[in-house]
Parts: sequence; C-alpha cells; structure tokens
Amino acid sequence: MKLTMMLLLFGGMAIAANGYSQSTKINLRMKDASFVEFVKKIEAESDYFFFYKNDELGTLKEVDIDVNNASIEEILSKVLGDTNLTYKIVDQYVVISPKDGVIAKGTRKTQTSSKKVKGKVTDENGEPLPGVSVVVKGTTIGITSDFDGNYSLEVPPTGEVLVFSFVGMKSQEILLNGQTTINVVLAENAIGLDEVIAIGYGTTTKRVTTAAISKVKTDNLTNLPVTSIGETLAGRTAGLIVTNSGGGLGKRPTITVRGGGTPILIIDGVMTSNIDQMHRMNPKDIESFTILKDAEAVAIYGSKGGNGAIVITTKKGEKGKIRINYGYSRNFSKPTVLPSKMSSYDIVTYRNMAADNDKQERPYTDEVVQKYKDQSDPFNYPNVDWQKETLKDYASEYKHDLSLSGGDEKTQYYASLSYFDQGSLYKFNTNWLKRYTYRMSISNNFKKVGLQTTLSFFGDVEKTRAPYSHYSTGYWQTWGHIQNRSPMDLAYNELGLYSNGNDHPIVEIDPGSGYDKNEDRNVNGQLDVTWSVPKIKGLNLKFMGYYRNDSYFRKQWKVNADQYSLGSDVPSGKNPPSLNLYSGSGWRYRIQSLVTYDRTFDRHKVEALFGYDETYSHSQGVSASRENYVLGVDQIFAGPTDSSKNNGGESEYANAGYVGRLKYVYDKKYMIEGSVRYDGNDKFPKNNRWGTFYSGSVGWIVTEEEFARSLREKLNIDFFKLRFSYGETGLDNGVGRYEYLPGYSLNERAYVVDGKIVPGFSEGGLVSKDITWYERKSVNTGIDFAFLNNRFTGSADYFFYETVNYLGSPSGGVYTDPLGTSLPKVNTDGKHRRAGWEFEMKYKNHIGDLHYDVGVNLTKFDQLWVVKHDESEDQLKNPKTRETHQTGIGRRSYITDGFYYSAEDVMNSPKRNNSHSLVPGDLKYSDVNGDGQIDGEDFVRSGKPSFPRVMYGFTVDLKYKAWTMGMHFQGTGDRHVYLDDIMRNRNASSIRYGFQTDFWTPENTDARYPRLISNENFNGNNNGVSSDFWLVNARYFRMKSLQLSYDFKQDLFRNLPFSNCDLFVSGTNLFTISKLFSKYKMDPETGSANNYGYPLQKVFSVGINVGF
Amino acid sequence: MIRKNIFIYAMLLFTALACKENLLDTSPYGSKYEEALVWSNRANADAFVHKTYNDILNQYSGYAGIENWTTNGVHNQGHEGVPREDYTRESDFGFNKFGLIRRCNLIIEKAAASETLADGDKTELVAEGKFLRGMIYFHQARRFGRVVWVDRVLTEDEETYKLPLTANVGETYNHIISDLDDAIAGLPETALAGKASKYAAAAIKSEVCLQAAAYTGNDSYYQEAIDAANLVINEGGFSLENDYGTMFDERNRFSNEIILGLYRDKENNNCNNVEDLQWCVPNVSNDVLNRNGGSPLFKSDIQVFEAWNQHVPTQTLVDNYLVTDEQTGEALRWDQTSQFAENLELIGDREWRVKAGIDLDINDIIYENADNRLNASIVHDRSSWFGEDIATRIKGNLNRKIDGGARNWVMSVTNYYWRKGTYTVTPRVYVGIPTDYHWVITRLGRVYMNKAEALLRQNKVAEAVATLNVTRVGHGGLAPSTATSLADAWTDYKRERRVELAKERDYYWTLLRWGKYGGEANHGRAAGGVIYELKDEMPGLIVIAQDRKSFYVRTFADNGENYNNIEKREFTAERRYFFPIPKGVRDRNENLDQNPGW
Repeated sequence: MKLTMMLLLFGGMAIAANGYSQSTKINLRMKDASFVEFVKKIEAESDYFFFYKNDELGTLKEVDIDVNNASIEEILSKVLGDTNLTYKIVDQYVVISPKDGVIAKGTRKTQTSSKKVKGKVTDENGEPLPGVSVVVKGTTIGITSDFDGNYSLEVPPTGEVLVFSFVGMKSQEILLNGQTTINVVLAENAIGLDEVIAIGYGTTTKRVTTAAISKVKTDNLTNLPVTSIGETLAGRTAGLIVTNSGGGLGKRPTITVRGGGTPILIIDGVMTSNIDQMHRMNPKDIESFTILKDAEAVAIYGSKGGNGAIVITTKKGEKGKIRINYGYSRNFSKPTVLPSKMSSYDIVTYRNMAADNDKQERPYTDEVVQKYKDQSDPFNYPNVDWQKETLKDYASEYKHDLSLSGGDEKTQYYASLSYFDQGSLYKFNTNWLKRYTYRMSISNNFKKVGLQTTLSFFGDVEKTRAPYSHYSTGYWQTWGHIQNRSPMDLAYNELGLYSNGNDHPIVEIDPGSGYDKNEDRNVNGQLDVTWSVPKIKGLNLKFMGYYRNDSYFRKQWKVNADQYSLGSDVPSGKNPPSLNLYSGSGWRYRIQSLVTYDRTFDRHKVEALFGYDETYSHSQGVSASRENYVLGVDQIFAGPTDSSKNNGGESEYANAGYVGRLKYVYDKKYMIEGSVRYDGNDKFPKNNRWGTFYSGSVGWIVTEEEFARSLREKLNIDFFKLRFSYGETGLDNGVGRYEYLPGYSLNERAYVVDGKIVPGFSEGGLVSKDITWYERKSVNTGIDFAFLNNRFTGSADYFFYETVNYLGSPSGGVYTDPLGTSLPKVNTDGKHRRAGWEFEMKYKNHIGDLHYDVGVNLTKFDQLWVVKHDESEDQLKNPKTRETHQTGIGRRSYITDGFYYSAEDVMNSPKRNNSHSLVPGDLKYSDVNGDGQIDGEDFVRSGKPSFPRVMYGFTVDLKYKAWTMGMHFQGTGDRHVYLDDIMRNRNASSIRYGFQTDFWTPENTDARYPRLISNENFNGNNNGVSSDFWLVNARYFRMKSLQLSYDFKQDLFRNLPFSNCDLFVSGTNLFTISKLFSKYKMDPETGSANNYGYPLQKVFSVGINVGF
Repeated sequence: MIRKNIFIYAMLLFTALACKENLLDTSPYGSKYEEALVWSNRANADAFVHKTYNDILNQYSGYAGIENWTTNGVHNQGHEGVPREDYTRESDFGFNKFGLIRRCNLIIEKAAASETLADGDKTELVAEGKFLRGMIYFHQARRFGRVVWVDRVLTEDEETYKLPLTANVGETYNHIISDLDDAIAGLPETALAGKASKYAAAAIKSEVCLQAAAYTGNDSYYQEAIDAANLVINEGGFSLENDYGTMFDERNRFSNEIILGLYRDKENNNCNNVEDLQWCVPNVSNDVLNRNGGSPLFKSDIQVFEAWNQHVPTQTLVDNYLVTDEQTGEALRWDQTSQFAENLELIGDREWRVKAGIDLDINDIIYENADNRLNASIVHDRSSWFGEDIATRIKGNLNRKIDGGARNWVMSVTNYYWRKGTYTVTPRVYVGIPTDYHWVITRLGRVYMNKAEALLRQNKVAEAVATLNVTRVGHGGLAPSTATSLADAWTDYKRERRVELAKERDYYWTLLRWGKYGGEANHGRAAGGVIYELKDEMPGLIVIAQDRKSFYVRTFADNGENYNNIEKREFTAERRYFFPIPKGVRDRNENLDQNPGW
C-alpha cells in the first residue's frame, strides 16, 4: 500500500527539480531497525522520498548502519548490498525495486514455451511512467515498469491479455495477438476521491475536504449543442438548481446553488458577480468546474459568498509534444413545442358563437363566414399562417474551435480560439449572435529559484443583431406578434408586397427594417506567480494580478420596411427612422497575494493560507440619439440636430479582503478546518465597511480507523467520511450603492415651463447611516462514500441556512404611508430559513468492452420566512394568505369550485362583487370565509412557486470500443405556472390555438375552459380574475441531452496522424413530459405563459473533433 | 537565519500590496446632490418645485378616460367600472398621495429655512408649496372627503404614523382653502406657462369653494367663490379665447384664456404617454375601406389613423350643443329647430328621414348652425380631422362597423370621436412618436362657470345668466340665454357648463356637486339623492344612413345596441358621493374610519 500511496503522490507532483542536490549528506545510526523505520528516518532527515512495495522487501534483513556525512548512494549501497533489491534516484525520489524487475510474489514459473513481451509505458504527454503494474490477465504473473517506463515480461502460453494499471490512470487491457512489443499510453484517471478540486484560494480533494463541494465533469459536455456551459448544468450535480425562462439568442439560464440567489463566479482565482462571464466562455477551455455550496467553502469570500460560488479553472499548457485539436459542429434547432394556430374561419365561427352566448349582435354575417371558409377572396378575407410565413423549419448554429498546447519542462503553453455563430428561427438572417473567444497562457518554471509563473491573455467579442422597428424592439416581441397576429390579417398584397398593418411580424424581421446591433468585447490579462520559498519546505508565496478592459457599442436604428396598400406598388407612408447609440468602456483590476504553507509531519498534516486581495473597477458610458430622420442614412450625424439628445455617466466599485484558512489532518483520519475573511465593501458607510466572516468544519474518515478494517472488507467499503460545517457569510442585497449618503437626485427633463424643458430635483431616500451586511448562518452535514473498489461513489448532504437581519425599510411592514417616503433601511429582524438535502451517486463498471458510468442526483429544498420584515400587519394576521411561516407559495388567489351549472346555481351561490351577468359555464369561486360574498378576503395561498423546489438528474455514459454515448435526463418537482390572459381564453377574439376550444358548453361540462365569452367585461371579468383554476403544474421530466460519438482513430484511421478523430451527433431537450407541454403546448420552462416568448429549443447537432 | 529573512521579505512584499486606505472611498459621481445646495438659490429650489408641479398636476391630466364616468363619453369595450359601481371597498382610487404631499411640505419648510434665499423668493416658494399642497388635497378631497392632513415634513422619528382623518369634509376644505388663500397672497401676479400665479390659485379656489359648499352645506363658501372668481376676472388680465378649440391643441397652447396648464414637450413626451391621443384616435386603413366598400379613402400616404381608440363622446353629450334656429335665431336643441321640423320626418323609433324632394343631408340639418364648440370638441359625420374628410355614416371611413361589419375595438361605438385635445402630430399619432402636448388645468371660461354656479346658489338669477352667457356667446356663438326663472337658469347653466368644460375633468365632480345640491340642479330630486345623469340618463349613439338621408339616435339600453354592458348604470346614493377608503390601507391603520356605505 505504501508504494501505491507514494506513487500517487509522485503522480501528483507536477514537476521535480532536476539534479536535487546530490551533495546532501546524512548522518545515520540504526541497529536492528526495520527497513520501514530506516525509510522514515531518512525521509525525516532529508528531502528524499522513498517508493517501494512492501511485498518486495522479502529478502531484506534488519538494517544496521552507522554512517556520518554519507551520501544517499553510499547508504543505499550498504543497506541493499546483499539483497536482490536495487535502487534508483531521480531528483529527491528513491525507488527501490527488485534487481531483475520481477515481482517476487509467489513462485516464479518460467515455462519453456513462454514468450517474452516488452515495451514502454508512457503517459499522454509521452513521459515514461515508472511503477506501472503489468499483469497477465487471469494470473498473478506480473511486473512493474522501471524508471524509464520499460518493462519486460515472460508471458505463459495461456496468457492472452496484458493488464496495465497504475494509480490515477485508467487501466488498459491489451490483446497480445502474437505481438512481442507493446507500447502503451495510459490516460489519467483523476476521477475519484483524489482528484484535485479547485476551491476558494486553493485546491483540495474529495478525500480530505470537509466542505460541501461538487465537481462537474465538463469534458463530456463540450460536444453538446449549447451556447454556454451554463445550459448543461441543470440536473448535472447535486445542489445546483438551474432554470430557463424561454429561449432566444444568447439567452442565459438562471443558476442557483441550493435555491439561493445568484452565486459568485471565480475564474482562475478572479472573483466576479457577473455570471455572464461564465456563459461566454468556450466550454472547451474549461479544465475544471466546481460548485461551492456550504459556508466552509464560501466563507472565504465574505460578504459576497452567501449564495455559493462557481469556481472555474481554465486549461493550461501541458508538457509534451505539441497537440492541436480542432472541433466543428453544426446545430439545428426548433422549438420544443409549437402549437399550430387556428384558421380565420375557426376564429370567425367562435366569435359568432360567443356573440350568440352573450346575446350580442353577430360580428360576422354568414356570407363573410363563408368567404373565410372557402377562401374565394383571400385578399379581403385572408387566412394567413403567420408561423409559416415568418419561421424557418429550424434555426442554424455552428461552432469552430481550435486549441494548441504543449511544452517542455521549463515552458508550457496553451492557446485556443473559438467562433460561434447562432441564427434564429426567423426567415431572414437578421437576427444573430456571433461570438469569438480566445485564450493564451504560457507557464514557466524557474526551478533554480523555485518560481512558477503563468501569464494569460484571454477575452471574447460578442456581436449580436436583432430586428428593430417601430413595431418591435426585440426578437421576443416579434415572437409574440407571430403568435398573437390574427390569421385574418393580410401578410402580402396582390403584388406580393408586404401589406399594411402594424405589428406585422414579417416586416419586423425584414432586412429593410432597422436593427439593434451590439458589440461587446473584453480583453483580460492575468499573471500568476508562485514562489516555492527555498529552504522552507511547503511554504509558497503566490501573487496574482489581473486586469480587464471592457467596451461596448450599441446601435439601434429604428425603421420599418416598406408596406403597401392592396393593389399598390407605391410604399405607404411610415414613421420616420430614429437612431440611438450607446457606448462605454470600463476597466477592472484584482490583485491578490497569498502565503500558503502545506506540510506533513509524520501523522500530522497542516495546510495554512493567509492572504489579501482587492478589486477595483471603473466604468463610463455615453449615449446619443436623434429622431425623425429625413434621410435614410443610419448614422448619427445624418439626423436632425433639433432632436439630438445625449447622456452619460461614470461609476466605480471596490472591494478588499484579508483571507485566512487553516486545516489540520491527523493520521489521514481526522480533519479540522477553519476559514475567515475580513471583508471590506464600499456599499456601506465608512464605519460599517469591514466585517468578519468565518466558518469551521470537521471531518472523520471512518474507514481509516482500525476498527473499520473488518467492516471494510465485509461490506466492500473503500471510503466513508462524515463531515460537518458551520459558518457565517454575508449578504449585501437590499440596498443600492451610496444609499448611506443623503442627497437629492436630478431629473434633467422634469417639467415644461414656458414651453421649455427644465430639470427637476427629487428628495433621495431617507438615509440610515449605519447599515451594514446581514448574515447567513449555514450548517451543512454530509457524507462522502465509495464502495465496491471505488466503483460506487457518492455524497449526501443536509443543509440549513438561516438568514437574519435583512436590510430593508420597516415601511414595508408597518403603516408609515403619511411619511411620504420609506423609513430608512436598517438591518431588520427579518429572518428566513432555507433547508434541504441533496445527494449524488455514481456507479461505474464494465461488462466486457462496454464501460458504463451511471449517475443520479437530487436536490430538494424549501424555505420560509420566520419573520418577514416587509410583510404588512394585516397580511400577517390573515392565516390564509400570510407568507410568514409558509413554504413555497405560488400565489394568493380565489379558489374555484368548478363552473356554475345552472341559473339556480348562480342565484344561490355567493358571487364576486364585481361580477355580473353570470351564467352557467362561468367560474364559481369558493366563499372561503363564508361571509356570503366573494372578495379579497377569500384569497387563499395556492400552488407552488414556478421556481422548482426539487430538481433531479440522471446520467448514463457508455463506452464501447470506439463508440461513446452520453444521456442526461433531468426533471423537477411540483412547480406552477399561472396562465396568462391569452391562454386563459380572455375572450373569443383572443383564442389562437385549437386546444383553447375545449370550453364549457351545456354538452361539455367537464371542460378545460369556462364558457366562451365575447368580451370579458360582459361578466365583470369573472373568469379572468386570479384563481387557482389557471395554475398549471409545470413539473417536468425531460431528456436534456444525448450524445453519441465514434472515434475513427480507434478503427478506420488508426494509421493516420490523428491522436483522435471523433464524429458525433448530439441533441438537447429531445423529449419532455409535462402537463404544460402536453395540454397547453408550452414548454415547461417557457418565458411567457402567453406563449409570447421566444421558445426554448430542441437542438440537434453533428460535429467532429480532430486531434493532431 | 536565512529562513527568517525570507519570511520577513515575504511579509514585507505582502503588506506592500495590502489595502490602500482609500480604496473603498468610491465616488457616486454626481448622482447625489446635497440638500443645502438644492435650497441655496432660487434656480435650484425652482428645480425641486418644477418636479413637484409636474407630479401634482399630472393628477389632473388625462381627460378622456374620466369623461366615461359620465354619459359624456363611453369606453368602447365597457372597461369602466365607476358608472356600474363595479368597485368594492378593496378598490383603491389613489388614497396614498403622501409622497406628493411630502414634496409640498419640503418646499414650504426648506425654502423658509434656507439661509441664502432672498425673502421675496422664500415667500413665492412657500406660496407655491401651499398652492401645490392645496391642489393635491383638493384631488383627494373630491374622492375621499376626509383626508389625512399632513402639514409638515414628517421625520423618521415620529411616534406614530397612524394619523387620523380630518374630522369632516368641512375641515378638509378649510385646510385647502387656507392653503389657497396663502397662495393667493404669496404668488406673483404673473407666472410663466406651467406655473401658478395668484390668479391660478384664485381660479382653483373658486371651484374648491363650490365643492366645499356642496359637501358641507355651508353657504358662505359661495361668496368666497364669487370673490375669487371676480379677482381672476377683474384683475387677472385673462381674456376669452376667440377660437375655442385652438386652446386645447398646438394652435394656441399659450392662449391668454389659460390660467394654468400642464405642458409636455416632445423632448420628454410620446403619443403613447397621452391617453387623449393614443386612446382617442381610431385605427383604420385604406385597405380596410377598400375591402369593405368604405369611403372616402384617406388622402395621406401614411396611415393617419393607427392608434387604439377607446374613449369616445356620445350622442347624449352632442344633444347639449344647441343649434341656432334658422328662422328665429334662437338657440335650441337640435331636434327642436324649425329646420329640423321642416326637413325631416319621423320614420321609426327616434329615426328620421329627409323629406322627399329636399336636397339636404342629415348633417346639414342637425349639425349646421350648431354651437361652435361642437365642431371644436367632437368629430362627427362630414367633419374634417387630421386633414382627412371624415364620414361616420354607414360605410363611412370612421364608421363603427367599417371593418367587416363587426364592432371593432379601435373604432368608436357611438360614431363620434373626441377632437378636443387631439394635437396634430407629425407624421401621425402613433406609439413612440414624440409630440408636444398640454392639458388646460383651469382657464377663464371655467372661472365664469364657477361664478355663475355660485350666483345661482345665491339665487342671483340675472347675474348668473349674464355670467353663463359670457361663454355661451363668446365661445359657443349662440344667442344668449334669456332665462329668468331659477329653474330655467339652472337648465341653461347646466348645459353650458357641460359643453364648455366637456372633457376637461370637470363633469363627474360637478354632477356629484349638483346631486348634493338637489332641486333645480338635479331634476328636482332631493339633496344627496340619486343623480339623474349618472343613473337614468343613457349614453347614446347615432347611425346615419349611407346616403345621409336618414338616421337614428338610440341609446345603449336599446335592444340591438346594448354592447358590453355599456348601458349598465348604478348609483347608490348612500355611498356614491365618495370612494371607499381602501380596505388594504384601513387594515394597516385602524384610525381611518370608512366612508359611509363602504
């Protein structure tokens, strides 16, 4: 075991200083000592580390030695002199191995017919791997590779397969097939307990951490057709709750850690609250992706860490030959669901029916109805399929990316470029997003002085174009017009030219209409320096400097494409164009210096960190506009000067903090850890800017205990750890910047005096001079485990957050209206609890050549206000609607009691005060308080919030020879969506889709909708008022992604100079099961419960990745 | 030793990087102005006052919607709860205006306390503060009667904010009148357009006094109203606008008749911010006309009518614009003139036809010779509007059913449109198109109306008739009223006020006042009774045949015309004179006792 551990350590050491002083002299005196004691002694006295395997020490007798000022070579020669062992020294590592290289275990039987197989084992960078176990499958015959990675083995005639294994590497089995030279490249297999995980200001491993952290494996996400890594995260790991609200170009999901607010983001040690920076990264540049969940993990971020953190590290150069990877993929996307709209004949029929219901005059005569039906006069009685007229079958996207990495002992480099081009579903190519990202990093090791540096340059450029016109100022608005536009409106005149009419969606997307173009770019430079202080083993000084420059330029040209009257080819008059420009830039720096100390003394392992960081940013922007353009020139100078306006401003922001962390591990069993941050936040007044946040945690690896040994074997448990953490982090939401400063604000266009615009002052909010952070206390208890030779691994956590002293104005809760403004914000007695649990489990194994990896995770939380500081007294006193002490409230509304079924029923039931002219088929509401009338007193909490309280995921990864396949399913628990007015059948004119005709009639009393009404005012909008009737459970289960790839390199192109050549197909949102989806034809993650929002898409992708 | 040194160096390096003392002293970059600066000079103080004018006078803006609370107007879709009493004690008609009141109190206190403002400036600023406070409380008083009177800047340290209401309506009005009196005393003789002079305060006072008298029964307010009106009329230097309609649009926005207006400039105003544009202009194109055989086609190459018409005037209002009898020169109701009797014959229920052989259209008979204010206020068949020839007859370009025979939600249900207050906008009234605009808050004509009413209440019939004739003759171009009895004088006055101030946020509040008076002011009904015009009078419409040879006028209560419950009218006398104090507010402040009946 010791060798395994050592090799592991060895594998973990990135670099070893060449020519470690051979002049180290050792004094040693030992008698009748065991070899183990000997090794320990030398390790303690010097910086040498020994690698050996216990069962190879068979021939070694007791060690007797007495030397002064001897070199290591001298000592080893003496000790090993008459054994069959030999040694080799590389740097400060000493490897002890049998002289003939053969594992001494068991009896060595060489048969005459056996054959000799030899070769070299290297890692992916071509570096030799010593100590790799090479075993003939099904026997105990084996050997370890020597220091140059070479091995040579006598294989019995029955031997067919060699198994190469090495801790931290993926094992390989190779069929001999008559070969006598087999060179093997072992790939790293850092998945498991000892994989390095990036955390705040450092790294850890699953084995030793006492915090709640999860690592998301990102390498199998890069082939998915997503615009951002963020889109792949839902259901990927425990603790993340990720929701979408519709789709659209560059649309980002909402990401939370355990249902809290937006987490902070740390990329290569640089903290930001702008999570968009993650969304814009090239997923292939991501080396590791970690979620920090509990206070132990985030307290070190102080006042920013309350909502958790996402820690990303990017790829850096690796030693070895230059490697070039190129990837291309092309995506095709369409809405997950798109209900087809009704024809104009349907609409006139239903409108007439509604008029009959209400005993109103029929709006359409039979003659007109007939014309809509037979389409004999399509220009006067049109039936336009607006979806068909405006949408393509699918939207197209494509991606290119290229990366290059390599290096030698001294210098490693990594460079990547990517280009992403996304189009929309709209017929014209007027709506797109193009993103370029680049990243370069160069790492240097100056071994003599113990210095490592990494210099990185990176950034991205994102350009977008969206249609912009007097009818629509965004693609989502156009989507609403496509859905809402009546088929009775004409699209083209007889000459095929756009017909008149506003909110004409084809005109909106036509290239002749205006645009909203935005160009957003940033350039970043970062220098990381680590100095391993000589002479003090384990002491490192780290410095990081980061600088970012942002700029944007946005141009909105508002004009409509030409439209024409019926039969005319002369464009109709239109509103004059206008132009808006916005431009700005900003810069930001962060500097950070850390001292770390990491050392093991015998059974004691100590890690310490102390540091300081600060961030400052400054931004500035200007805007300019002109209106009523006479010339159609889309430049600011071309517009009338009398309409010109401009504006602008500057802002700055700063944050600083001192951080510290101490970790102590005893005997690899007991861990205790604490971290602290003394944080400065410029949002608060001078006296209250600095605060201390801390956490503490303990861990116990039960499986390391002696008493657990038998249990381990019986139950096949490899690892079982208990951990607990408590911490207090801060939150600064609820106050704006400079709210601590009193002052008036100026409105530059407040009033018109004597025909001229004049400015106006307004009083600022009342100021509290002593506001500061509020706190979130968090408790986390968890277990980490591994069973069945690490094939089955997992974690489970219970978490509890209590947030206290919310910043808010007491005016929300108590009656202060006559004050005329809000009372100053203070740290209130507001108290909120959020708690839940989460688990994730993975099982990994293989059946023959089929390797499989199955994972499941689930997060469940809920929350309530213990004291809701802004809940008003009257609300608080109403047990049916109060929010205090209630979990998961959807809305407060009437409760329906079915439909009125008869005139008597209407007569005999309490009615809503504002409702009148009620008839059977109208909604009936419960008189909850029994006072004989339906009013706001009858409101009751109903439904669940649309933000899910349960999110789960299920992944299956399969590999069979050259094939790999990944599937990911994801779902949520109960969540409710409240249908918007169109989906509520506001009235007969607003009906758009077939399923909306399932309305109440005397023959259809079990209907989805109330009776058809010509105008909602006819009954005082009885059916449209807030009620539980329109809450739809939007819980869903969906196949979030699927990918299938084939590596030609392993088969067809074995001899070509590729290192890999994968062809893949993949898809997202391939199928969905949800009530909202099946019954209302809306995606459960829609952004608009009227189906007005640009939809979430189902995406198919094909692509290729080639490595050289 | 070496180790120690290294450690020291490292620590030195570290501390060198550590926090700069002032890193966190970031700047708000001018987004905060110190209070002392704001009140240090007149220009800065004015900036605060101007914003306050804007916010408070905005409560008096938007004319078309509130007209639907009466039969002067209707909402095309019946979206108007007040006529039906479709509201409950949970409805909030704007009880919380304390933010605006605070602004007024800030002006009054901060200006007075300023160490650098000149005394004259202080007097004027304080007077403006009081004028504006009076304005916002008048707005509240008409709605709720009793108010929470806050006359100082409350601080964050008050013992309680659960202040009570004024004891009664009289107390409310005494506070308001006292503020207005102080304003009259302190405001300058003249003011720039958009700001109040002493005469603006007096003009407002003349109306406040009427409301106060009606709700308190205290007759002494009438003389105060008359005195205030006389101050404006005799000393204000205002004159009646010759061309009535022009003072409500761009043609004469600074008319000498306007005493106080709320102005907007195209720099900060779009069509869609003005309900009197966006929600009053219809939506129809030549394509629709062609498809449906409508005429005449519009001449403009741009679609002039592409807005969201909701608010329209009624035949009921039009009935009040008198027509000059061609034979006698008398001003009579349109169906009582000699030309009407001679040229038309009744052919059905309120349906007439031009007699055979007469070469006249309906329009010639019923709209010709009408009160000048009819054309200035209302678009009817064969009007001209936005440079287009308008036809509201059947198959006419702005007829209510021109689009396929259905009553379209963006076309008038009455076949009339509001002209008063529609600015000419280039290229057209449309969302996002910038335009100047203004609302007339008070004007000389309104002051004459207030004076006439006060005189009637004092039974000074002759003086009252002379006063109402000022606008009847001056604006309407009608023969003067010759009423001599109180009843006749009231009839003529009521009609005169209705047409003179149509769509100027007057009629609903005036009707409540008249209901409080009862008697001649409300069809002989008892004081505080059901108001005839809010319950029994039905909004009406007109339909003119395509050949303009016949027409009918009906109401929405008539079979076939009832539409979206427009005809539904409720008036519960016990509670209708005030809106409820919203339940949501009363739940939080138990000191606010509810208005009667709610």
